[in-house]
Amino acid sequence: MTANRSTNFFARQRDARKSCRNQLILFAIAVFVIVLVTTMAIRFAWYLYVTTQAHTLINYEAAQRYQQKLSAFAFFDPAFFIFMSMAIVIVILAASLIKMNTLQKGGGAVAEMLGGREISAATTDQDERRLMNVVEEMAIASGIPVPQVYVIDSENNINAFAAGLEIGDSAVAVTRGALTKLNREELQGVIGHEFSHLLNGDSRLNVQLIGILFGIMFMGIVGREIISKGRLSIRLGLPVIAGGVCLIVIGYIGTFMGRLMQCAISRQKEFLADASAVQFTRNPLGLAGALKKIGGSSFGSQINSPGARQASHLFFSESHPDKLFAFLATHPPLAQRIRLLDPSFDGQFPQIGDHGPVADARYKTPFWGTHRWGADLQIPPGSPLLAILPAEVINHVGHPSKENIEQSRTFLNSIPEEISETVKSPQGAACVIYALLMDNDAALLSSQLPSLARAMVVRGQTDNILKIAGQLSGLQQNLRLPLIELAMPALKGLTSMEKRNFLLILHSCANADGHVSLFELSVLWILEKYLNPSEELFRSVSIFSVSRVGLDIVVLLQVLACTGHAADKVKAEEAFHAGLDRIPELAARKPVFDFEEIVSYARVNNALNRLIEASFKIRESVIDACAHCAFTDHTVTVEERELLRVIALALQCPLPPFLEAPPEEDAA
Amino acid sequence: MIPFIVLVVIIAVVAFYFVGIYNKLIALRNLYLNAYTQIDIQLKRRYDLIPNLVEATKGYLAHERGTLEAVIKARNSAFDASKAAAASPGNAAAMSGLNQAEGALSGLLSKLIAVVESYPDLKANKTISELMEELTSTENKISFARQAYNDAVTVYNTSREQFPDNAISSTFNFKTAALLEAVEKAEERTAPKVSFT
Repeated sequence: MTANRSTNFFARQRDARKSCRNQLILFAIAVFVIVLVTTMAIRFAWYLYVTTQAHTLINYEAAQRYQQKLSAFAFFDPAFFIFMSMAIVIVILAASLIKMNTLQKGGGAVAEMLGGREISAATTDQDERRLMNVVEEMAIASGIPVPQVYVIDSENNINAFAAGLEIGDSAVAVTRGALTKLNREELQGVIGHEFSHLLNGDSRLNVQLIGILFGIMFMGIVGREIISKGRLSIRLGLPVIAGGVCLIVIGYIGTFMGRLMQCAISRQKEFLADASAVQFTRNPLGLAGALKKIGGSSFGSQINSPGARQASHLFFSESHPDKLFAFLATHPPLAQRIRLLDPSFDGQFPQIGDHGPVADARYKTPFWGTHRWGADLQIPPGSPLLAILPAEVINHVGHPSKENIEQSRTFLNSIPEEISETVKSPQGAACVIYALLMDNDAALLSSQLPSLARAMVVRGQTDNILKIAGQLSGLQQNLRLPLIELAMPALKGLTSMEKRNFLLILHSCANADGHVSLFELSVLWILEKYLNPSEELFRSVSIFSVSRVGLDIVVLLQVLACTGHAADKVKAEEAFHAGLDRIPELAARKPVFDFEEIVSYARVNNALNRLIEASFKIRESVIDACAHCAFTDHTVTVEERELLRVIALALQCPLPPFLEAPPEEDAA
Repeated sequence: MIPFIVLVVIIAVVAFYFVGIYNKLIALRNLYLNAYTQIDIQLKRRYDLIPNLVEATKGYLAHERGTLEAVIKARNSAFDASKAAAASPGNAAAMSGLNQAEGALSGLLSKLIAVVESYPDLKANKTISELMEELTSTENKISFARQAYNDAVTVYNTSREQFPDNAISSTFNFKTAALLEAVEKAEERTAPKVSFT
């Protein structure tokens, strides 16, 4: 069988090279079409220009000159056509070669281009350990060396790819979603599929295809760059912008040809790879299960990173689904793939949650500091706002009432005098904020200390911070945010470099235990917005369609619903759908609601970071949906309000007025 | 003179042909010997992991002491069998010894794993779940390595029995290599009993 397999191996590699030749023919055709269309277009534009000039110029002599030009005009001027085609071919070839040169570095370079992070063989993270083991198993099963392994942390949908020019120097990458949502057998099936691409020489072909595609699409990319720069400064002038538009149109021809190539080459190979995966794992149901999960989750295997388009033929499953151009899909339909593996499949995808099991031990730490903020004073999480709480002080800064002032006095009194003095200097304020983020648990604290050592402002003050943390440990939880507000003015005194360093260290302190609490989330966003107000000016809006951020919106709504109804699954789901219905495009996809008693806010952080880049209209509807989600039961809990505030702050949108003040019927 | 040269050439060609066969058999033999070392590495890893798992679960499974002791005993005898097998891979007696010892160990191990999975406390324990993951992975690696070994052995055996290779293999004592059969679990061999009580 080895002989059988190895001759197969060489035969497959030969086939791969043969289709490589086909690819070159397709490339030549694509270049020819682009050259033809471009030269014709330019010629025609020139002709139009001369004609209009000749007929519209008032100056007689000038018009005469154009008339002469027009009479001498030969549409098919060989010199012009030869010159133009040479120029275009040179540009396309140069772009392709440069891209291929960067890809020569091997599979790892491709994985990094698509946002992958390499996993070390000695990783201790459980999900990553499992992935590493599965890859090693498949290496033994397929008889090729263990490739580099990458995870794409920013992608929450299920997908994977393999890349590499040589067997010995290839890489396998999976998305974070595949890591958390698939079970062991399903992951094994997916990795088996990717290994068969490596073994069959497809990955080599695929990497070369990226280079070729880049050449074909290069003009379009240049055009888009010109237009986006042109929007910033109109000084560049109309002709340049018009040229950019022309390039984009040409680019679309290239894109179309490129996608034709991607789908022509890719589809058949996917069936072959599925079959080989079963040969390696001897378990068709694992791979079938993974495909079913992709079909069952509302966003399937979609990849959000815009740079991934050029590599869509690399992925395990359709990375850029497109209803309009279904005939250009790079992968065969899911149902068809599944039926070949599991003939009993009835076409019904099992509905799965969009966030996978939160089985990870990291997420099981209670997010609301239970032991630290004085248990006797604590308000149980999830209790409705029946009375005005001290936390309200921040919400009514604009219109303080007598009670508010009273409250702030009691608030100020409850803070130890030593600390209210400390927060008046920038350094002291930084110390207090760090102290608030310090963990009570000794093991977790020790993981935060190394980050503190890198902090600029508070160098050598670690002991002081720990002392303050000790003093604050008796503080009621609702006073933590007001204390931060108290410390904020002094922070303005930091230099810009110190500010950056301060925010960086805050992030690493908050993430040190692999878990972000609601409090940590709010601190990070409040301070980030407060210290970096100018950042907004440079942030470009690049997302104009709800579907590109659909998963992020679902995450927000889900976390919000779970935060508001920590004990009641039915109500939480009701709230989730109330929010979802505000965005019909999203509701039509029927995302599944996953109830979690313990919520992880790290996901919220990622979702917000992506939503910032969405257009104002999308952000506004997100806030609207969130508000409806929180307000379905006519009660807004402390946590819900805090989360809403963070969302509104991060997205630079005002909160709807009914949430600004606590609803009367609840206050009564 | 010319017939003599022709004879020499023919003899030389035949001799080279047989040298080629001999070399091919050597290469195939090395292939399966190498495939065996792959199995051996993974077996060693498993023998290292089992005492760790037993040690980690001991505290929780005081009442399952019998199972734990049986696992350790089976592990020790499988370890001895694997040493004998590594000394002479392909030897029929050594391979069947390893097969039996591994069969007993796998049966007991799957019982232990079933016990561990029925205790949520144990499953939630980080050390134990890590050990379980490592053990599962090693089991998979062993079975994949076994497939590779069996493939290599089959190719070697087929080649040494075919004409004209069998002339070389019997002259130079290329022995038949034994397959390492997949170990059937005891519960798979017996039909499940159904009772309606």
